[in-house]
Amino acid sequence: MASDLGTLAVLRVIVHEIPPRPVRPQPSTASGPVLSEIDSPLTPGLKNYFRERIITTLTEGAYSVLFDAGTASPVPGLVLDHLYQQNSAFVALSQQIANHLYKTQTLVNPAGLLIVADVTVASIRSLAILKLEREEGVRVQQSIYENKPTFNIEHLRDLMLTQKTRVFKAGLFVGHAPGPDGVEGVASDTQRGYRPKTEVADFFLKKFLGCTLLDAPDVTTKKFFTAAEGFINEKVTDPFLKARYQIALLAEMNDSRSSVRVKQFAQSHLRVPDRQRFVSHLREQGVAKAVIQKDVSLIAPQLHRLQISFQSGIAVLASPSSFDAHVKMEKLGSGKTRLQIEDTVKEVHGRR
Amino acid sequence: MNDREAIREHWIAERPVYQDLGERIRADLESATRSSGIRCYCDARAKDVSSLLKKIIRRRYSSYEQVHDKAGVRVVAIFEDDIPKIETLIQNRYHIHAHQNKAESLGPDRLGYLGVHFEVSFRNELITDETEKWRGMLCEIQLHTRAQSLWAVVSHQLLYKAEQDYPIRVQRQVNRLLALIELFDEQVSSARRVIMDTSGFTEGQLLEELERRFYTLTARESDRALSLEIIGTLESLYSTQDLQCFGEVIETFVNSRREKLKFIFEQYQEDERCSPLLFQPESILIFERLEHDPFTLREAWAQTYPLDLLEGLTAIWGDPI
Repeated sequence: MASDLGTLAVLRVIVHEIPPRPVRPQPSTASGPVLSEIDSPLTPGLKNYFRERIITTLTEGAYSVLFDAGTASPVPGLVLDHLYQQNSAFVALSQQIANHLYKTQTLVNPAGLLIVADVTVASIRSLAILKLEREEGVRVQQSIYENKPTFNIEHLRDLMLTQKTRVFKAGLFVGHAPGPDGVEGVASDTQRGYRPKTEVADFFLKKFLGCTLLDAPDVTTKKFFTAAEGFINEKVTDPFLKARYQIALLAEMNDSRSSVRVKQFAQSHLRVPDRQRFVSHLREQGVAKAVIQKDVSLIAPQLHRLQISFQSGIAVLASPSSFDAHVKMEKLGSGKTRLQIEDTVKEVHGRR
Repeated sequence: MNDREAIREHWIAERPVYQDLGERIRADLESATRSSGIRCYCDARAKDVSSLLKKIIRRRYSSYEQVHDKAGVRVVAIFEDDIPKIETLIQNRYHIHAHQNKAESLGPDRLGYLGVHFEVSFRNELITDETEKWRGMLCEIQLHTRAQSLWAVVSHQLLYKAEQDYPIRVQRQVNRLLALIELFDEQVSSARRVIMDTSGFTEGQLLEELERRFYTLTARESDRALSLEIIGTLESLYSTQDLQCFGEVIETFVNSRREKLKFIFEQYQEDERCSPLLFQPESILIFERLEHDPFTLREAWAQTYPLDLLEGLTAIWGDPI
């Protein structure tokens, strides 16, 4: 996110309980969210607790989003009201968001809590929406504050600390300038990424928040891949490391995970002195996102083979797995590299 | 005004304004010394009614206006080396009506009360709507080391006659104490310089640099032993070249992130459950490294301390690792 989350301050928080949708709604029983009628009292410690939870959730895997002009969700309008209307009613607004979440949920969505937080980012009015999902059997109870029902945040914090209730989905909207285009939005789903055509992701991002991803995943994936290869070829001098990093990059792009977390990739595959250099190089190349929604359709042909080209014109082409199994690289004192292939020759033919 | 009863009533009416003047200058000096990275303690007082009258009687003043220390601020420096720095700071900040370094007036062959005294007022060109009510009003500033301050308090309670009126034995006792105070301050400063110049005491030098900036952001006391231990673990994150100009590295970082640092320290000021490392000077070092090379910071940290301690700070900074 372009805004510095370290400047985030929590002002108010309101919690609503979102029960699961009944399998067979009974006409005699009212069903719907359990709404608070007043925001929860907060101590400085609780404000900071939520501050850190929002920061952690959003930096673990937040994608830039924008409001979908054609959405049926009331959330974009409510967010804009909050950001730009001086007298917007925070409690009523949060209740409408809770009602919409309940209506949007399907039978597969577990029970949870909706937290709407009035926050500022670098003193700019903002709104955070968090969806917590909790384990079966964990109950949260409303208490009365100023004669109105609300949720006790201290109790909620204890539940969250024991990991029985976790923040799985979050959205943050910062009102830089009036109008939908002036809003910087990010959404995160730590439960699963926003895979195209994935129903659960669509539920939170599209149906509930009324947003779409700002960047096309196929384009950002290609930008990441190109920038990462650029780093390996331009900034890494050791041929052994070049090969190791390239194999790791191909493996990352080929695995079944739906996203690439840039810092995590650096942490897992690069030597310590190369990690920050890698992240800085990506940033210089315009890849500033912490998480890349993976869609390899534009780079698919490049992911199957690893090619090492030598100054003499010799090139070795191999799949990452056979390279790992059959090729040894050794750095020689002369600055040259010895490549040793141990395999059975299958055929030899001319090539243009 | 020379009638003592009139003076008394006038002072009762006027004293709150002087009380506010002293408080304002105290706060001003506290902030200025903190911004300059000097550690000291400041307090303020307005003379009580009896002190003012006794002074007029004792000094045989003929008017109320002759009392120049109606408002007073005491600045107590931890190290004697810092006294000239605070002196300069006061001279640059206020209109100086009187300035006396007691050691200079004693001469080389006499021992006595030490300290630096100023009589100051707000500079006319710097008067604002807020300070207009104190235009031209005098405030005395006494600048001491801790040892000098201790002597000032004790001697005020104990010695109420002129020095020559005491038996010689007592006079010698007093002189020995005075010599001890001078020696104490000098030895502390000398030891501090030696310690800070010792090559193995890099941690101490780095901590000094961090404290200099830390106290411009918060007044919270920190645990120095913990600071030295953590700095010892993390100093390897800087190149030899960076360590040589560590003060500049930290200064540049603090200046570029001052608003954010102030925001964070204010945000957590009242939070009893916040990370125990936040209100430590080395938190600035950690934030600086977090912005420049979080991966190496993580590796170095993990070798000695639990990662969740670092994660607590990185979440506060808004950039979890």
